[in-house]
Amino acid sequence: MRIKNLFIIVLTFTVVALSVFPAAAGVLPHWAQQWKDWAQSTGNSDHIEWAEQYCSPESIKLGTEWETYLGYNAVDIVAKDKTAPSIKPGLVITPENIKQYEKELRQLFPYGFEWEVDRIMGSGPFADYNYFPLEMEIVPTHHQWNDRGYMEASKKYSSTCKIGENDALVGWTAGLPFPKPENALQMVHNYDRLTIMGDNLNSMPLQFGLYGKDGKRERVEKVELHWRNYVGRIKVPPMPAIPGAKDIYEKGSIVATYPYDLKGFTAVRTRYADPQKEDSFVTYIPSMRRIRRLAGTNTQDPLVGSDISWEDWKGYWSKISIHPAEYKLLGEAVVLCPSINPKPIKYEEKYGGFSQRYLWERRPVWIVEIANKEPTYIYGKRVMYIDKETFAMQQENFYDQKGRLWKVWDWCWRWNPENGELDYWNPFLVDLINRHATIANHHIMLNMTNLTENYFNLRYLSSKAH
Amino acid sequence: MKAFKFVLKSCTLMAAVFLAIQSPVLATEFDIAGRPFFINGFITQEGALGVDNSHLSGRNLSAYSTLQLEWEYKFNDKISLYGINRLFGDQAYNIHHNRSWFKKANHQKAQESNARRNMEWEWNINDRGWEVFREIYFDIYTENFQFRIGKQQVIWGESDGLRLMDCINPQDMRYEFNLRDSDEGYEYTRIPLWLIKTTYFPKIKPFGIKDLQFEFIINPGKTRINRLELYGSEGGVWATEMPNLPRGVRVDVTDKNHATGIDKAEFATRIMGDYDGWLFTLNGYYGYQQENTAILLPTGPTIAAPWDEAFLTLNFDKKFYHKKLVGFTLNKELTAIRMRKTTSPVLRVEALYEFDKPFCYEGEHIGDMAWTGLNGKYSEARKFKDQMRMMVGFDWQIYLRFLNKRESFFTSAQFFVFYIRGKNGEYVNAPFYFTNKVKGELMPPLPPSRDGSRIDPWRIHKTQKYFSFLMNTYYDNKRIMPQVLYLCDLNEHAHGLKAKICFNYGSHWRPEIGTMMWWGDHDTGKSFGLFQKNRQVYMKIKYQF
Repeated sequence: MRIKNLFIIVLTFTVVALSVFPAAAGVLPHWAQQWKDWAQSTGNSDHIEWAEQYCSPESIKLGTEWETYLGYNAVDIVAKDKTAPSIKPGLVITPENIKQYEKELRQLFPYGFEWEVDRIMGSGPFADYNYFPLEMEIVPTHHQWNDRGYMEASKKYSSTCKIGENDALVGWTAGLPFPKPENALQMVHNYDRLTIMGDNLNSMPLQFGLYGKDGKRERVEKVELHWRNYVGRIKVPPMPAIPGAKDIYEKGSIVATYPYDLKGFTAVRTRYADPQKEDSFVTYIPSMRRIRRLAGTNTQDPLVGSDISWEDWKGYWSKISIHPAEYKLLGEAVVLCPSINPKPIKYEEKYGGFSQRYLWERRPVWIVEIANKEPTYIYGKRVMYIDKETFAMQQENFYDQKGRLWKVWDWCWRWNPENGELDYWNPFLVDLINRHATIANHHIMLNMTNLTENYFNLRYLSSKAH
Repeated sequence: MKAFKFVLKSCTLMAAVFLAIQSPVLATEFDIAGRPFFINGFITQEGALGVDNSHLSGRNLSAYSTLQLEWEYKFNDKISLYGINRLFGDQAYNIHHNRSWFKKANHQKAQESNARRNMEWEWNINDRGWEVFREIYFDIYTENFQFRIGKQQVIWGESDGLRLMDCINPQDMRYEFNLRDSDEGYEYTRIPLWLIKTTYFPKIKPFGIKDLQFEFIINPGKTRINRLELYGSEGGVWATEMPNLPRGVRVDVTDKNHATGIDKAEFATRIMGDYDGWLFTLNGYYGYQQENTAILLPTGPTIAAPWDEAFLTLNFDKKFYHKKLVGFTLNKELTAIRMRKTTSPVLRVEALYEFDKPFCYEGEHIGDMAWTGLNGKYSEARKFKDQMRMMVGFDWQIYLRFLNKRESFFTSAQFFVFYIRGKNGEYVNAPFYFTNKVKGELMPPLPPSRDGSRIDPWRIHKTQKYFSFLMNTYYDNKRIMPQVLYLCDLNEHAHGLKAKICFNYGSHWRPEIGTMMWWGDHDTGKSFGLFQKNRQVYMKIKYQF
């Protein structure tokens, strides 16, 4: 009898262990195995190397936990979608073979994102502005996930979150406020509160390449960027908030390093937790050699010479309670999105322009429309793809007040599957009306322990002052 | 020493040329002994043409050349050495020095002797201030302190266009007035000083004040005054106007500098912090007067030499009076006010109270001219009065989408009020204060007293009021920036206007075209009207690296 009981206990433990930690037993979950098999089949050393990291025990453990928490994974969702069967892993779509795949490819960019196809074809809005041709390398869908900290904080705190007056988020402490979002506004709040996908961030440097009407790079501007969350912290102590700073959501600082006439410009931007309190924006202006307050309410001007405004920062950084809008869920779909690109994006002078080549995969997304109610607001509306696994924004269209497609934005996420850290890679923003483009080249580090308050206060400005 | 300076100048020039023709990467960062050495800079050439209906119309008024290197070497994370080497000059003094119109640009024959030597290049045989190193200082950081030791600029205050609290460094006013670089932070005209600046960051939040810091500044004894080279040295179109004295009278000032010594030390302190979005400073300064009109002391008249085309010389010594002031600045974004639901204005306030400021004393009646020291009725040539100066300004970025779809218009309006307790008009900008009308009507120059209605000298009003307005915006992804700056002296009905367009194409070339205009309502002898003859259009080409 004892032996029988012992046998049952051991068997139960083994089954549980295998289900929770399949990699430990050498059995990969199907979402990992399919990627690994495909990588092996290509013989591509980059893919094989990536698959090893993606299928490591740490990755599998974390991925499994997120799958359990959300109750779904992208691989299974995508598998059920039979749209555009010719667009499959291994295919490389270029301007040379695009006509063969155009029809199916357009099906994978619903709700106005067909400009990605036009980019390759040189048609539509890119008919007279085809300086950024694209080569799409299709890879299998990943099951993706975020940092464990977000999951644990979401489990702990999300139950208290709700939408308050002026669409503001109420009761939030940390993590995803709405891990099972029911409407577009909740999805937007989720992305907003993921902030920089970590507790702090350095990008040294963040380089803006600015491209003119002829597609040639006409300027480069470089800044050093630091960002820090004061509440909602999930990984770097103190958590979940920095003592004495609960009124602050986040702070960011930049110091310009190039070119000479920008060099030394330093700014600290503070976003407050109070839904009605505007940002603070204090700067050091080297030409005046003074610390000067600029208008924190001015969020709609472009940053330096780029096409990006503070409203567009990280795709969406509008203070929801300040700028009233109507949030509409246009639908859910499986679409083609930039995949995880473990290696830097390839740029080549090709097809008469500055060609980019990166990895793409099918992703399950929510399609959200934000129609601003202010006639004086810079945009009439925005439409964005929000990833159903990472809750991160994948692509975005900006429309002006006349309803014209104004700016389009895609970027790749760089991702460490072993700890779930996501960061921005290659944000690419094109202004289709003014025919100008910005490619932001980040060099990001996340969740450092030495990024202190001294990067985000008057002392920081004083230290940069000459 | 001369040879050493020559070598330094030559090295700087060669380094700048070398860096300018190298790739931007080379010009930005080097590695020396395993530590980063950053270097940037620019070369600029400017040229201006007169457009006033005067003898200077169509003339090349100025041809500024600038070559600047800015560098920093980081010994480690705590200590760095920063410097600026600048070669600056007005090549008009080289090109036109033999031309009669240039020599007589101010109708003052006496003002040409040293002009070329002093103005052609800032570095010259009179390189008294080590202009070869415009700035050079060590920065030392510790947990709670930052020390800056060396030749440097310290800029206080919130005002643009007129300097109130920005009182630590004097100005080089030989070339132009206000409009030249008031919209660019006086970077060209501020004179760096050898200072020790200590900033203490106590890391406490008393009464909810965030980011509290204390600043202590000591000038250990090498004081400077505004550089104007009064009378007898500078020629050319930007030379100091000889005072509009009656015919036959001239002025002579001793060529004397403030002595260097520990007993001449100057002190300044500032507290800065942020209280609920109010960024404030409290300031105090104890040093010396820098304005030329505040330091002249009459020593009596002498008979002028016939070749000076005058019969009487008014002689002045320089007396370096103390300057003592306290003040504060504030700024805050007024978010309760919104422009069509977009942006809010930023309020800027600056105010100071100066104790015992010296003024040239006119006497009880206009025309008494006590400041000359020749009117026996008055024992004092100067009066010491407290003065209050205040500025209230608003910066507002407004959207005019029909003019600019993408970018806001940055607007900045400032109102200045200076107030002196005492009788209106008894203080004057002597000896600059006569108008052309006075000059034409008065002979001899020194009547004991005259009827105030007959003359209208440039008096310092009991309450002085000024207004400034600046507006700019950007087009074409910040590649084109038009800007307008307007200054108004409300008492003297004098106006200044600078309009320019900057072109920011590429990372290196920065051309700029613009115009600077001045008007004086009464005549050309007062306030901005002094410069009316210098109305101009200008062009600037800059290569930065």
